[in-house]
Amino acid sequence: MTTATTTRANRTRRFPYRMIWLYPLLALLALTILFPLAWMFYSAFKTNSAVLANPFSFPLHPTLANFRALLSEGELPFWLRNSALVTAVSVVLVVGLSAAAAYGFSTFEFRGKNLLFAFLILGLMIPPQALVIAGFKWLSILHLTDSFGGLIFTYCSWTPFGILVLRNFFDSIPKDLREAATIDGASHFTIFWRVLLPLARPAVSTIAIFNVVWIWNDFIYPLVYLQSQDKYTVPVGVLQFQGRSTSAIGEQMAVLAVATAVPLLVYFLFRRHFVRGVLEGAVKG
Amino acid sequence: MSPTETSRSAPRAGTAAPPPARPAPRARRSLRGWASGFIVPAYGFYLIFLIVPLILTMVLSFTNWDGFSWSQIHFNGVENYRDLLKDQVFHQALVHNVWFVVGSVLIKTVLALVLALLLYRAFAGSRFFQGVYLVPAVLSLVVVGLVFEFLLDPNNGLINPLLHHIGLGHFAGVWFGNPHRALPILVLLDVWVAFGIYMFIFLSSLASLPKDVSEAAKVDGASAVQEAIHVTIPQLRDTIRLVLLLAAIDSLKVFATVFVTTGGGPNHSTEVLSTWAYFQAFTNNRVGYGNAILVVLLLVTFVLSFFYARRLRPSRRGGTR
Repeated sequence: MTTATTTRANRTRRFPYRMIWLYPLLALLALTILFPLAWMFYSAFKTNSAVLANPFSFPLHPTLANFRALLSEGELPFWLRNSALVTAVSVVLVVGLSAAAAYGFSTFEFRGKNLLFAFLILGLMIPPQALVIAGFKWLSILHLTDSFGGLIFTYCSWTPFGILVLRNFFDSIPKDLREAATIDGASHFTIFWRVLLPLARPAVSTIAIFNVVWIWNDFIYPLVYLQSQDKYTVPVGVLQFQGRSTSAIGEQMAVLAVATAVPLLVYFLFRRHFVRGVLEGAVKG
Repeated sequence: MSPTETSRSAPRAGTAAPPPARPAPRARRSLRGWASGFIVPAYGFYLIFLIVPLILTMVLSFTNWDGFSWSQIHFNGVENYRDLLKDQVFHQALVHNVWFVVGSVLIKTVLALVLALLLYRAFAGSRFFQGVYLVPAVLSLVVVGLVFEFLLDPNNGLINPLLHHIGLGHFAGVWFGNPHRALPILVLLDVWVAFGIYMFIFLSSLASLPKDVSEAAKVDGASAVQEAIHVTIPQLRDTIRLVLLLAAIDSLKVFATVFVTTGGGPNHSTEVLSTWAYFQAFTNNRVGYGNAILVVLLLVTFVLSFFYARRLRPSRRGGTR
């Protein structure tokens, strides 16, 4: 996370005439990212016949018809609501649970602590799709299939990343600070809630942002765990439009644009936190 | 707390000597009281919703369960695993997973390293490119898969007209539907999604390198390329190893892009372990067998994770902070 600041502080920006040959290459690579996204967004404002007639062109007669159709007849509004609900509740829980556990691991000494901590790393490594079959059967025992509860509880098991990042942070806070608070008679809860957590705000934001992106984009769990169409989240719902390939490209791009808007917005608003999360050992994704 | 942990936090606290460890009697306590209040909630969810499914995956892989009624479960020993040996599609899927791990990891690492070396020098636009290259990492893999399916559509897509325009028309044709092209495309898509992440890991590692070595190289008249090859890259050896491991573990998670674009086809040419397991469990109703496939995937993950966990000691992690 120091990248941005050091580059800015230590080096003056100058035009690198020797490196001018690089620009076309870097730009070409950037184009492979920007063009598909731009195409998706502007095609959402074209009628289907316009897309088929000239797929490259910008919308000559931009139309909101695709979005209007989605809002009035499709189930997209439900999927958006579901995604928002599941993501919001899960992220709050994941952040709370991991912050508390990180405080516990950073503060207390008990037998088997290092083992318990190391065991959490397993959770970062396991491919999520490897547990989804057994997970679905397990949820059916708990009567949690086809419910947001099952999904949210599953996401609540995604705490290892947060615990790892926050424990590192808590460990780096001078012990004197906590000891001073202890002498003042503060309970562990007070120290955690009023002293350490406010200090950890940047780390907490990083964890929250990462989990928003993960959970909003998660595909395999809602795909398997939810059966009723009105309970789908956006990534699963989006798939319902597949197969109508040529009849509604504009409309499909509109759906994809809406599904992409949230993570993109989060990225543009909180890019620094996101980069920090990458560096703090983002191994999921 | 381990000694390394304490000594790491000590310098930040500004104390000269490492603070004494907590009194021995406290260190011997078992997990209860306040400590359990903080740790148990997160750990409970972790055990119930991640570890139980993990164990269940392994247990079910030794059964012939069809997935319908719990009374129909019969343990059949290692029969599923014996079937795996005979299953041609499983062999293909395993090879494809290896392709993802080797191919996509090598391309990701080299691309990320080269880009980091280039973009670490601040010049007009360098921050813009850094920012753009990380964008795919936040996108939904379903969206990525669907958009590229449209772009590469042989009839209404954009790629074929584009190739004709720039005079490469003989490359135009079927993309995801061509068994020789589909897998390379999906590997490249995997690279496209994640290379920015690893570029940033390299960038941050570059920022923490001591400046004097590179200054010395410049004084000695080394060119930028010489400096990168002989001075910078050797110093990044640890980071390169870390990135290779992380990228490998990440590549094993491939599922959504394959599932959305080709579903494992055409003719299993893009089948990977997780899509094949999904098909066996949910379409073919062989839940036991599907879980045996997943256990193989998990074993590969565990081997790689073991190497990763060995590096994840707190003292080692200091480098990226």
